[in-house]
Amino acid sequence: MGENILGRLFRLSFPDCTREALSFLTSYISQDCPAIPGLNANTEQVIVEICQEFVLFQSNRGPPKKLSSVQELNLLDMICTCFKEAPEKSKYRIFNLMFGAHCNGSGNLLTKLVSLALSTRCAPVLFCVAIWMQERDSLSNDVKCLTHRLVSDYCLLYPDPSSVFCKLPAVSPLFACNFITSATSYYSFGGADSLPPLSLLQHVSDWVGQDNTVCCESLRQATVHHAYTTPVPGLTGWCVRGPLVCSQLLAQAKSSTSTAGLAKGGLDMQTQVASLLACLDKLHLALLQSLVFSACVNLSPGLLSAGDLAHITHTLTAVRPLQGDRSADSRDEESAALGVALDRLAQILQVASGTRTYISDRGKIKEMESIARHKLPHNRLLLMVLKQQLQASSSYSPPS
Amino acid sequence: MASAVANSELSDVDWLVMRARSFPKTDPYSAKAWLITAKSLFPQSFVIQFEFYIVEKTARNVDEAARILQDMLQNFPDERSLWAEVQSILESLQKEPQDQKYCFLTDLFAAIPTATQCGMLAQVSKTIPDVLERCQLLLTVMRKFPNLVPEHGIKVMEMLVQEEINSGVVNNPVNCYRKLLVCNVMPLVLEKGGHLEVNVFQLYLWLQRAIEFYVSYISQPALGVSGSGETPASSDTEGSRPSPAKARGFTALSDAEMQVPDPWGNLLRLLLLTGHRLNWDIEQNILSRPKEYQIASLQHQLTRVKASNTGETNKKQILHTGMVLFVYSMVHYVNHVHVDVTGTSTHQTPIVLLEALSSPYSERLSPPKAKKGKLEKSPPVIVPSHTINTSASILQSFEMAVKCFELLNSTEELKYEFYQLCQKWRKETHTMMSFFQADMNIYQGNYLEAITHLQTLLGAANGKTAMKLNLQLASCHLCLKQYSKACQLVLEQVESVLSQSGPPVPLCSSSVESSGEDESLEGEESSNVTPGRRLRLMQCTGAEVLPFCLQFLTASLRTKMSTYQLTDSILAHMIILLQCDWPQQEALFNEIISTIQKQGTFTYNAFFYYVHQVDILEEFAFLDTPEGGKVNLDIMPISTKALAQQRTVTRGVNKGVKEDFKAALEKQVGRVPESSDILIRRFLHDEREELLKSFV
Repeated sequence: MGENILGRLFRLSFPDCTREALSFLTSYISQDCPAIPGLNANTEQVIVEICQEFVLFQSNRGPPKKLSSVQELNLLDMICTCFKEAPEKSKYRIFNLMFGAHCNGSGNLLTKLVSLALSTRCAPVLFCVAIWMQERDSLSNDVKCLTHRLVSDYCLLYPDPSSVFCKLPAVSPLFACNFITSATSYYSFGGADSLPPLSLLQHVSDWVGQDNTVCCESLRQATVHHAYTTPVPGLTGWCVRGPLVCSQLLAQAKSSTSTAGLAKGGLDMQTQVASLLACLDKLHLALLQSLVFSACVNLSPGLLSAGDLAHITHTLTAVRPLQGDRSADSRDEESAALGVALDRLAQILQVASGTRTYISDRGKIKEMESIARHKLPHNRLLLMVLKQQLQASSSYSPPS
Repeated sequence: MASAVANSELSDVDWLVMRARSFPKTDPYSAKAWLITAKSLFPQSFVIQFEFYIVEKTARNVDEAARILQDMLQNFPDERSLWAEVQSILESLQKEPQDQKYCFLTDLFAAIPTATQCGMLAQVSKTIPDVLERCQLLLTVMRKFPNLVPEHGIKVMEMLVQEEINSGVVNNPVNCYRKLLVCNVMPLVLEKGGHLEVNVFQLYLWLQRAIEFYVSYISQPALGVSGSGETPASSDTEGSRPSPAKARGFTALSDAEMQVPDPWGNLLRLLLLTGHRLNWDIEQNILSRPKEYQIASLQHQLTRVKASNTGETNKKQILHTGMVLFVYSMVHYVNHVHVDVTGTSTHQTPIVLLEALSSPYSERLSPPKAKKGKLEKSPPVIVPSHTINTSASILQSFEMAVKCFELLNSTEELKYEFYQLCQKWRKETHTMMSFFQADMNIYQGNYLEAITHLQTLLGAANGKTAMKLNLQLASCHLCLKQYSKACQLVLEQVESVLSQSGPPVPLCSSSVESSGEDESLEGEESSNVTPGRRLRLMQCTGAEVLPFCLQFLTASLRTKMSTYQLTDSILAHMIILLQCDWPQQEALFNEIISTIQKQGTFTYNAFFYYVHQVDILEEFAFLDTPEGGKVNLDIMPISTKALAQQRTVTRGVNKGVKEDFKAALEKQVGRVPESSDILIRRFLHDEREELLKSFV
């Protein structure tokens, strides 16, 4: 039968062969992969081959079949339909069959599939992609690649906010959540080279502000899919480092304009930085509100850990530039920005520590306290919060 | 630096609040972020939560602010500033809704769950020492949030009832507590209160209080006698407050607040709402119908319930519906006939109800008791004077009031309860009732009772009201055959009309009056089909009163015809009076002439002073002839007997006497006719004593 199906499919032309193939794969996977009579041990190989030959068109037998643009669109549409119609439990297994292996070439098709799913609001595909991102780790190349493509398509290509992106959390909150995680690691806001585009920051702050549950979506899946990452550490990095990085950019811009006279470029930079900062204000509040919300729902810990915060504290000392020839003005501005950064760090620590989704670690807190005392300027709020954390954790006497 | 020192001296909580406040209004995000952190650090700090509330309130986030407020009410129930805030929210509910600030606070209150709203209200109202203010607050809030009525409605009513008793103003139903209770709270509770934990007795008690209030309100002095619909003129309570405690009950609400725009409509509404509560058989949508429809419907219902008269509930229903309809129609009637209840003189002319005077060919003056059996079958007919343009509604009100009164007195039990309710009325209402009862007794032919009421009322009456009462009194005496008393009263009225300053009132019916007379005659003719007693309703103006008085006197004198008391003066007086409106009562004149012819003699020496009517003079000339019966007339100013004696002495002949008589007659005819008006005026003035002698 296995031979029969392959033979039959080879006799069909596009798009019939693909439709047949998808239908066969769906029914096969939905029946919990029964042994195909006459194939014995090679069942899995046949299935993979069907997928390679008739869905991904990466033939092992000959030169890959080249689809025209229209045919490719037809193919993507058929895949979307397949995910819509497949039984709930089978969806991700089908997806994994198609894109689970290393991308080598199918990455391009995946990006196109995600674009179509976004514009047609095909939630099942987006859900599968989100799980895929989660299992891959947001820092993997495949995921970075996809994120970069989406950001350039939806945030950079057109200056106006994309309506498709605006409504993303409503279509697939999990995808939005994992996309944020991935975006915050791609654009870490650690310096001028890793600034998130303004429109991305606007989208993210809107999403989190409008729906305090978005950040918790991946944690929700933790019971089903063990591998998960959450956007909260990355967003904390944005909110905390952002003001500091921005103030440095401004200082640089000012010094370059005063020397080179590039007034226009300097002004553009100033307005862009001001917009970024305003967005960060909003995002920070949204993040705190999301943390407050997570205290009200029953979720396992993991949204944020003391380790994440300690890491961010470290990066703050790294971000601090040590250039000596700066004006008093920019020094004041920068110390104010650092004050804001530390305030935010303290706020996030304090609010997160009140939730069950926070993973505490006395050692990390001590580490933070030591940095705060010795390597960073005095910040009353941060010290107040850290002191309370240490008191609380000592009174609980955590298991050693 | 100074601020840094100051900052370091601040407690952590105060410092956090200070930091949150330090952000400009343009950055609501940062302030909120600080407050979220602060709340997380110090969850037990009221100051932080209150600041949070203020931030949300300033940002006009209704739901957020409401949530925090509710949290605070739960966690910090003893904080003063929190209750001050709650109070200001509740106060804002009482303000005009135009202001945006108040709008927001109203929305804020609306966003809070009912249970918490109730708690807020209960707590704040507890702190208001003045019961009236407390009730006003609760009332305003209940008006805007009817969901609170079931919880607070009955409580407010009980509070007002109790406070009315405590403040000692309960004897005057028109006080501020009663006003709030009856006009504002009660309709709200009956309509929106959902299931009420009250018994039937309680509902009736409230209804009684409402009736008391409205009846007194309608008849209060400041209101004048203008009746329903009109608002009372602002009374000058500033000048004369009796005692602080008493004044409190009446002036705690402003004059404007004490006014009720449509008292009768409100009372009917309460009756109907109570009826709905008690499952009376009333139309569901009757509350939206016009007042007249409601009254008619209640009347029909009353008749139905009365017919199926069983059970205690029915009795209560009859009592209260009857009571409301009675006071409604009674007050309307009394107001319409412009009775001066308050003793202050008004410019309006009272309307008087009197027994109609008998026409010559019926026996109207026979004692009504003889006809009682017949009367019960067909009620007397009231013929209104054409000058009364509201007569239809007056008669309608009167008949309804009489019916209700009879109903309320139909059993001992009803009678007892009815009088219990009347006990609480104010003086003015009782006076109104007395006016009505006088008229009702006349209508029913109970003259003795009518006289009792009239005499009581006369004690405090003056001007036209006194005239009205005196005329009624005279009418009653006439019906009781107490002619002397009757005519004395009537003559007094004539005197008072004639002595009035201003343009002389025509004594005899002018053309206008005569047309009215025609009308009433017409009425009489048409009512010949249904024989029975007849009453007349006329305005207390000289123009209507004087002709009536003349007719009254003529009718009284006529009763002496064919009795042994008949004298020539009585005949002469009738003849003189008949000149007015001649020849309307020609029939009576003919009767008199034939009586004279039968007697064969007639003596009245003032004849030529008072008789000018040519027809009458001719008739007397005819009496003197053999064809006329050769009546021995002694009507010359100087008695013919005395003259004859004189002539016998001087001439020895009696011949000239006749010639003198004829000459006098001719002379009288030839004289420029004095108007009968002036003539009769003179007669009534000069011969008053003579007239009264007729009835001794």
